[in-house]
Amino acid sequence: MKLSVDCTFFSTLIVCLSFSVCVKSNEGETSKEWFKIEGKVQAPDAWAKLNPDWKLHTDVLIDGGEYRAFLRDDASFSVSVPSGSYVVEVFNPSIYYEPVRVDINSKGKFRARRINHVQPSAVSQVTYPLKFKPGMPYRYFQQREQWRVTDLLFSPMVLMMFLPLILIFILPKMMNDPETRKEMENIQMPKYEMPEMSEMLTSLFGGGDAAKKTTKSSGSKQGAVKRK
Amino acid sequence: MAMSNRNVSKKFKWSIDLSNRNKSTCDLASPPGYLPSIATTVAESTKENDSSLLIKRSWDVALQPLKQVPMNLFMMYMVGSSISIFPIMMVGMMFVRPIRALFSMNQTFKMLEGTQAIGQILVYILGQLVALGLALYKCQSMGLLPTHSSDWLAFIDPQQRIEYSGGGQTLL
Amino acid sequence: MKIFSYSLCIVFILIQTINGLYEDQIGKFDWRQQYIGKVKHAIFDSTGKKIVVGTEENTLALLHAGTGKIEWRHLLGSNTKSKITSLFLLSNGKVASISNIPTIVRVFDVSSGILQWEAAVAKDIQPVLCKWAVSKRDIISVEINPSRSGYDLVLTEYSSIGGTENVASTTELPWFTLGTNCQLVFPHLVCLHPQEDAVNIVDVRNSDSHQRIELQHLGITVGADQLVTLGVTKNFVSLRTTGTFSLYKITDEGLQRTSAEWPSETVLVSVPTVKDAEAQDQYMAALIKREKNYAVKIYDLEANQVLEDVSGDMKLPDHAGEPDLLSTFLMRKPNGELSYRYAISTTDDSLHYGSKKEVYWTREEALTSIVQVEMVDLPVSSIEASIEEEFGSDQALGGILGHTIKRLSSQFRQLLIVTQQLLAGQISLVRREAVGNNNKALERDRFGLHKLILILTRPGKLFAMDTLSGRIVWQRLLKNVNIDKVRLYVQRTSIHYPLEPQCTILAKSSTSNQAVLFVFHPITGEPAQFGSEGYVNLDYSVQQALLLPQNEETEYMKPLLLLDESAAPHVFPPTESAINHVVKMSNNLFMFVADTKSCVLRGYSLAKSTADHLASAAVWQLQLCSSSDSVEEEIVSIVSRHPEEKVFSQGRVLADRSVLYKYLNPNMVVVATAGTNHPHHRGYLNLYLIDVVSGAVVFSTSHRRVQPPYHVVYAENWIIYAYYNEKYRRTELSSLELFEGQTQSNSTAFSSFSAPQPLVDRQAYIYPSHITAMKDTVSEQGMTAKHILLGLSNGWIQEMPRAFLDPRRPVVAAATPEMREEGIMPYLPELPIPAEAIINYNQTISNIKSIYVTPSSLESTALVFACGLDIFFTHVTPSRTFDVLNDDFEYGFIALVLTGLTLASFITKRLAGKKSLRQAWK
Repeated sequence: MKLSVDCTFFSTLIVCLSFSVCVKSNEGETSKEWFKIEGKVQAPDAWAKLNPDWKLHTDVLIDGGEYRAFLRDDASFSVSVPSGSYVVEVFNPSIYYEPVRVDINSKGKFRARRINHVQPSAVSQVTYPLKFKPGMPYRYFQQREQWRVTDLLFSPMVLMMFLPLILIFILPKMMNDPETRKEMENIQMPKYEMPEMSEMLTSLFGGGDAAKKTTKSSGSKQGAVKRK
Repeated sequence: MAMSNRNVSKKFKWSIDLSNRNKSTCDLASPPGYLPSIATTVAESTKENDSSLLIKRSWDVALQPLKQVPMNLFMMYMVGSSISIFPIMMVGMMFVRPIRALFSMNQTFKMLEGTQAIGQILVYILGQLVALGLALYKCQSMGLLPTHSSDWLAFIDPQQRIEYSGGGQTLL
Repeated sequence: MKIFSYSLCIVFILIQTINGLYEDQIGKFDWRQQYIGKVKHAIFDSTGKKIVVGTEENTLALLHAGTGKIEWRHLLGSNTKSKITSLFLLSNGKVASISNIPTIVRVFDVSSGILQWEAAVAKDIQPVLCKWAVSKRDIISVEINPSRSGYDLVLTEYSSIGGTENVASTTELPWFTLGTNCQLVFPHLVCLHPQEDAVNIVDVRNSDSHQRIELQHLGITVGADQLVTLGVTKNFVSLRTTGTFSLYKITDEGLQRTSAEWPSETVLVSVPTVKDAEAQDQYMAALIKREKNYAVKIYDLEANQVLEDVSGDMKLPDHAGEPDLLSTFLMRKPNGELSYRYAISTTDDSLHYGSKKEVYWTREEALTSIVQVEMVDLPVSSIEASIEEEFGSDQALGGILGHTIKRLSSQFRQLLIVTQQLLAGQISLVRREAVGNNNKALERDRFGLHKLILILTRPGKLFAMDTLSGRIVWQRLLKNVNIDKVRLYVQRTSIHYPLEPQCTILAKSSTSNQAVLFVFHPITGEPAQFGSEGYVNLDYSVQQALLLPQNEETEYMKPLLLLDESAAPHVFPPTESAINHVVKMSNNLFMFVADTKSCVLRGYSLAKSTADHLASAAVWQLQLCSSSDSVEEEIVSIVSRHPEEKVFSQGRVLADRSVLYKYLNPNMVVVATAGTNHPHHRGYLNLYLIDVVSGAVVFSTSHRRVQPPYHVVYAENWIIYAYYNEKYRRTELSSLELFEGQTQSNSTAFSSFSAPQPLVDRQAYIYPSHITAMKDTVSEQGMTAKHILLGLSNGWIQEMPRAFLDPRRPVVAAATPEMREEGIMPYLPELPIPAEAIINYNQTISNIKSIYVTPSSLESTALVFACGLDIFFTHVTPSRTFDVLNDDFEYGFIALVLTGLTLASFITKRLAGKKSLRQAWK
């Protein structure tokens, strides 16, 4: 028979007070029933061994500190809150835990869902009782830029200057090598069909001229012989 | 003459000095078909064509900057208008060339002689100014000329405050 | 979706350009100090080596008695209304803490600090009185609730192991009246009404046992106007009047007086925790006030005498206040003697621990309730002082020759000093020195990073801390002042050598409502030569004060203009030059006073002032809140720009190279009023931009269905404010930016009477965490980019570039290439919190209340001081360190490369010469 969900206690109190003078309460403790949000936090095993007091440094914040919960020996927590919608955030300075939104309606039904600030009514459910699995450790620091030899070697200016030089020196040596020359010759280049085309065209348009040319050339040849 | 020959021969052992000494008293007969008057007529004809050629050459010199304009235009287009090393180098070159030419105008004017000299000078200056104008246009298209109010923003002093005020929540 | 992912990529790429810390920079220029708060409950554990402490800051902590260090601590709730009401040490090595609002019982294990169990008690009505006690097995609560016929006593017992409720019983209390003070000494409840002269004792388990004992039977005579106060110390009840102090033990028959003689100067009484368990109720310790110090007396109750050889004296330091909590521990030393240890909490919120010999350590817990912080420059070092001397003096010493001789002699002196310091190893030639060198003299360093932090705290204590190490240089408790609304003004800094710096504190006198000024030298902490020991009692009360700009006439002292309750102005210091300065400015001097509860703002002009008589006239009045009955509205915050803030560029350059001129109104003030209980909107926030010279409301905006906390930041021409949107249950940051337009109305001067109407750009963003403090960074010339420092509820401080909150960020559909050219990111509703932007990496600060930022002499660096339950100090560089070489500047590498290249050039020249010679011989 736990404290906050003790129905008989509350019902007797309510009956007793129903005839009494009401004292105005200005805090949040009006006649709302209080419910317990429960959850369990897991930590990565190796890291938990290195930091045995991680439970002391982990805070559970409800609504940014409105209510606070503390982890017990078994890394579980429970908080008593009135009904409503709350953001449960487990915060450890080294490890990221994803926050969860818990809606409790007045009848005591719990619904845990992921937080979506842009579309608050979107429901993407998460198991309840809450289980917080560790995420990535926080990277607070930037890495210093290490100077690497490759930065200097592969910079564009160097490449532009030295790569052509290298090519100029290497290519002739490649050419002088007899084996590579043989390989180059063996590469069969596709024979261009251009000469055939030109011969075809000349035969189409000026076939007669070709015959005259041959006679002329033969005539000139004879003349040359005579002068000799 | 012999002395000079000897002097010359001391410099280069086997070279022959073929400089023109047609006024020298030479005993040798001229070769057949050689007419000594031809050289003079040739010289005369060159002298006659000299003036027109001179004017033509000076016009060439005068029009040279204008001829470079289309080439510069093409180079401007190729180089682009971002602010990086090649465009700036190009703009710099385009500025420096006309300015240097404008400063060394005296030397070029010695070459430009003749009746149309004044016109040529004017055309030359015009050409250089056009080249300068082209460089300015390139600057403007790159956004380097302070034509807009945002360029003078850094020189605006903050407004002087006339009234001084203060206060806050009551401390009573 | 595509556009969304594309823009997200851009945002993440831009995020990478946010600067962050490097791991080797930890601890070089930042430090954190952890505190617990003013100690309200302190219990020694049975070994005496640890003290369990419950504080007013709602913190439960375990302190190591030998050193005073915190072993563990828990902040039980950030709600300011919730408090720790009782603290009990249970027999099984556990501690029970009971808080109220809401009433929660928590049991922690003392050695490890882990929570064992927690139980919340939901109450329908608030009890009139609620007291708790602990028995061997149970935790008992006794409440007095109003009932039909008077008052009822409700007794509830909770098991100390599991927290289950055992018994609940109700008893009627017919004799109880409102105003009765009761103390619970289980199982008896002892009640005393201040106007009655009888003590009522009732056994809470037995409803019939009620005893009423007259005070005269107890031997106390009460005079006509004297009050009797009832106190409790463990199992004893104390009755104190002005002349007597008596202690009683409660038995079933009634009150049995302990026969030890208690002098009337007994301030505090405590039952010490004793090391051996049998002698539990045998001893008693009392703190008695003497003239100059205190005496701690140990009483043996069984033998009914004071143990004089065990008792001793105690002297608290000058800056400590009066003790108001005493907790003691008695142990038997190996040689059989008794010796005591005490832990005393004083009115200045500090905790002292000591023994008969001396005070071993002191914790200054006033630093958890900081009211105002100012960072002041330190005086120049001796070398630079001589330079200033030389150039500052304008005496003509024999013309050129005299000046030359003076120059040579001063430089020779400087050379001597420098060689001396070098030999002593005090100058580091290359880098900035690391933190931790406590012997560094209080001198200004080259970059202005070594400053003195002046901290004014709520108990009236003034601290001065060194920025390099966080060590307290001096501290002072203000006497006889009411620190309700107190302000600290820096009238002159130490940059005007040889004039001494001066600071003034404006407070109210504790006896009357009149104002008191305390003037002091910020570097040494000594009071200045004003009034009596620095306290200047004014015979009027001050409603507002204004620090005027300095100039040479007033010897660089900023006059403080005080407006008294009848709106008559006064000047402090009342020197002729200061008054003349004020009279010269009087035509253009305006002040405004705001009443937060009635939301009325009044503006005053000093135009009619003459040298003989300073007068002010009311010029305008604004009523900002609604006048309906159901709604409670009040002014939540008033924020104005820093008076010495410099704005570097007068406009914002757009993509088409035109300029959007900023609306820079130096007289504009942001007033935020918040209301609750609106029938339709519930909570709402109104923001007004008011020009306090003309009284014009330049701009106003309103947000509905919002809840506190509200934070406002105002700098240059923009305003950023945060609120909690109740409808969507998220924190939102809204940003306003004011512009004059494409042309400036008046480029030379700005007058509030001819000011143009500004154009206002606004936009709101969602922030995924809860903000507890917000501040913008400042720099000396205003050139560095402005970043917003946000203190979050989980203890982080995030540095967010203001570009994220730019109201001109366009929605992705309307994003044009011009926008990207200007450097504006497309609009994304949620703001990211990258871990690199957290300036306090894993040094979380609990309960951040405020952040203070000061510029240093370097344009790129600002000094940040954050306070809350812990205090934290660091440097922040919004645009990276553009004016100093980085830490990782490779001096060695560059020197090596340079010498290598020079050598190579010489060698190649020689080789090339040889080669050409060889060629010529061929």
